[in-house]
Amino acid sequence: MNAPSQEDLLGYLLGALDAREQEQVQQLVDQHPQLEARLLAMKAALAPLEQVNEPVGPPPGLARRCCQFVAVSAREASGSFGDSNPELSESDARAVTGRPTWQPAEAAWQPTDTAWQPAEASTESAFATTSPQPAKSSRLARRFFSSAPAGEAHAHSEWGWSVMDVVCSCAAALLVGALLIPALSAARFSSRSVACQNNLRSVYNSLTQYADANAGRFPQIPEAGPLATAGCVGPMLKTAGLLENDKVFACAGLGKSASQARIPMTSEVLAAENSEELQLYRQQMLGDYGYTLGYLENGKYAAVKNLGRSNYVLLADAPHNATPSRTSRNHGGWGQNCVMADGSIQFNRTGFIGTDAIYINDRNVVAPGVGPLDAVVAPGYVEPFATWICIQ
Amino acid sequence: MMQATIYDLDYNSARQLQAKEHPVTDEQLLQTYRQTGDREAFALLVYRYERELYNYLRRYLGNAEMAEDVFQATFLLVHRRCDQFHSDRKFRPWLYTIATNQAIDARRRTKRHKMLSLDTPHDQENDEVGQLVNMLETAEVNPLDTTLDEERKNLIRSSLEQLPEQLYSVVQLVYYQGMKYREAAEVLGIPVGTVKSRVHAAVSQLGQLWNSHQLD
Repeated sequence: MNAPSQEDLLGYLLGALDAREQEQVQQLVDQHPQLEARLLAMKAALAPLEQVNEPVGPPPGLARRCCQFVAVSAREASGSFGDSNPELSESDARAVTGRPTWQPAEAAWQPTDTAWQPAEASTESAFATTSPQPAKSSRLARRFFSSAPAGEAHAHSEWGWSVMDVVCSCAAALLVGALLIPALSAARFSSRSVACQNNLRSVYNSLTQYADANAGRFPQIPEAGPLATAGCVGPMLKTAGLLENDKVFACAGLGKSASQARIPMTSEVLAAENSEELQLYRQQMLGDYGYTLGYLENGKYAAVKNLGRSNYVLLADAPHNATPSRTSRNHGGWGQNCVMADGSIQFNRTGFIGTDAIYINDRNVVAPGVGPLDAVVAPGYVEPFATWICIQ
Repeated sequence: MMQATIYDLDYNSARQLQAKEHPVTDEQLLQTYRQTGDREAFALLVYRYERELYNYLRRYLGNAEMAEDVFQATFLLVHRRCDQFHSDRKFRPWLYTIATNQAIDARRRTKRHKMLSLDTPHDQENDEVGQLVNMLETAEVNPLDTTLDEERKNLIRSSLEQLPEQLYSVVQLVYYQGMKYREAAEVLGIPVGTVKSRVHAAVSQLGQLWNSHQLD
């Protein structure tokens, strides 16, 4: 052997060379004293490693626990481990899991006479045990088998969850969801309905102020002209300076779909240059709400008087053409907020106040009521005399 | 960690002695277990390697509980894969191959989920159950020396852990387990020359790290 390499010298120092190589290096070191200096330098360089080479012994009972763990894990995986001595098998299982194998998991809380009795100390078999021990070690050890060969049965995942754990957790999550989601949905529905009622109350306040200034009559829809629709109320209130802001005509029940339109002044509507612009105004004038069309008495069209009647709908969520009785869809089809002439507000689910339909008159037509007690609420674009919609 | 009992201690030492003095070789024991399913043969192997393998894993992983888990996992794999053991091979390198792979996986997982708690044992090597409050008291005569010594050891351990896994493995096998280059090569499934160069590279890197920390 020529001059030994650094690796060989290191191997010599660590005793990692084969006997023959070790002997060869030994001879070279004997012949060349400078190699000894190099070896000493290497030894000094390795000295820190020795400082953390503190001897530690295995924890008591490690081998016994290991045998038990292997026995139980092997049985779980393939149904057998070594010879099939039933007494030993039972003992192994009890020692590691704390309960006999035949005992179902659900019944594991029941301490049996045998489960907690120390078994006889056996010096013959490493698999016998003295007392039940916690399964903590076994559970932890299972985490180290995620890379085990495919095809081996694993009752637990890497996280130590069994299929039953996952199923139970999913079921619990579904149950909680089933309980919470309706409650959350109902709370949101309720809060939106209250917000809508607040808007309607604000409009009603404006209407009563208007009525006070106009001989106790609410705004009357003109029989002809650009303002001859139910929506004329919006511009009239705004022009009279009675409107808080345009947003009070937006129904909170529609969420993001609520009307964002600006309420025009009457002068703007009257100055509309063409029918398209006028139609756009009419669509927007009353936002998401509907206003009463008034009534005909002795063949004469009359505005509604502020008599404070509690069964006459003055203002409500706008109706929908495609629903039975033209009920509103502002609140998901569950009903509509209605403002009565006396200022009371109720959430109506049927589309009727008593026997009076909210959105059609007594002749099943979207037109002014056939008498002072017949309320008909129509959306902003409906003309009381030009567009009569017959409801079968 | 489980509480030891007198029975455990007696049983342990008696079994260890019995296993070591047993005249049958490891390979014969595994062969017997594979052919007859004799649990006693398997148990002899476990007891025979209890101290050696646990110490290796304990040092490799730096944590007693993880070492115990990997120890158990290793022997479960020995049970599962005993059919794959070739009779012309030696049992010890095969066992170390399994244990090293399991330890590498465990270290990888620990790095992935590393968390620090105020209740983490502050003395990992002695593995005492350390609470935060324990750090306030000591029974040592000279606390400064103890602290400096411990700090120095922590520095050495931390520089060891900074080594890449392939260098870390050879240091553990060759230096701490006292394996020959050839045996380490067999355990890791790499050529002997590669083991030699890795050991040399590991020592060089450690030297640089220690120099940077002025560790003499």
